Amino acid sequence: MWLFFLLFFFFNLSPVKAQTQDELFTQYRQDYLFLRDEYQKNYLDFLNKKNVYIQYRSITSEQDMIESTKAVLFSRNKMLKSFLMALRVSLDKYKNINPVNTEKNQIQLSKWEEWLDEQNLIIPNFTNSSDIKEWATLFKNRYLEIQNAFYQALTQADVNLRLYNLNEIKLLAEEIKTDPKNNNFTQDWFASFPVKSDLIKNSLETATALAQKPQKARTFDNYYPEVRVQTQKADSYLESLLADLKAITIKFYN
Amino acid sequence: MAEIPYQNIDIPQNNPLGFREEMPASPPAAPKKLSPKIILLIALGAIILLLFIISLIVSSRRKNSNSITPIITPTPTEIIAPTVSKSLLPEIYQEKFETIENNINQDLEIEIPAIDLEIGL
Repeated sequence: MWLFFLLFFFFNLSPVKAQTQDELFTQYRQDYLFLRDEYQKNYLDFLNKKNVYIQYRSITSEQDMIESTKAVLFSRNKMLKSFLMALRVSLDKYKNINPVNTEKNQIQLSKWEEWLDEQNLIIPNFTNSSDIKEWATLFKNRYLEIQNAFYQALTQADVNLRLYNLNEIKLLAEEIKTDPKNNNFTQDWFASFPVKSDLIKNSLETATALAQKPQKARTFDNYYPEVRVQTQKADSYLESLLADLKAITIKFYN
Repeated sequence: MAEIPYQNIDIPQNNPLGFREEMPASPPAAPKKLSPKIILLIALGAIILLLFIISLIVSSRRKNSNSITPIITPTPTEIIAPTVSKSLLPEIYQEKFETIENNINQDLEIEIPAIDLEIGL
């Protein structure tokens, strides 16, 4: 009898449904948007308290300003951490295309998530403006590296998506090639494929090179708009490949 | 008793005696001078009347310009883009093509945070 119950219990347990990558990303993205709103609210409060302090220069208003500064810095770190988390999770989707570089980016993002967590243990202990100022200077320098890490990750996500699409088009073309109705119609398409594929890969390599360029200036040199130009170029070649393949398929089916 | 001819003194023209009573020449009526208040009132009234007439004219003109009779404008025919019709594709490939098409141009839906680095400095 007990054995029956035990067997029933084990076999009847419905397995906990694992969150898919998309669901996880959606959840982290929502967390990020919520924390972004929190940061914006705290930022407005900080500006208000700062103005009061500048106007009256009283001890109470200074104390209020210190507290609001701590609150806004704390919420800023939380928001940034949630952004990095969402980005790190999003990289899982097409990680198989380039596992080594993608993993490298994810490690970088994790490192900065931890650093932001550590900073949020320090911030509540500040009691004066000079300590806050010292920390804010340190953060400003570190943010250059944080920015570089997340722009590199964004570039990797863009590159992975294009390479995945290229591979999907090739797989579909191979499937169409073996179609019984196809009387060598795809021959020309396959002949031009290496050229277009190289053009796509060149654009994506340029995008990766832009992201890997070391940052020498004291302010962040944003290369991401140039990366976008390269990825859009790759998209146009992908669209052209797919449109040609579609036209060929229609041709031999009609 | 001497007869006293009847004399209608009220109407001198009919006087049988041929007596014509000299009517005292009445002085020419001097034009009555209007008081400045009345002039002002008349002027104001004239202005109001003028404004009223102008407003009537303006409103009637506007009404005329607004009431343009609706003319049926022909809708331009849709420009037919040279695209490959999906329906011409065999069913076995339709979904595959659609999935790849959706994947192209699909980017990460996450906004880069905008932060103030001067906080605390």
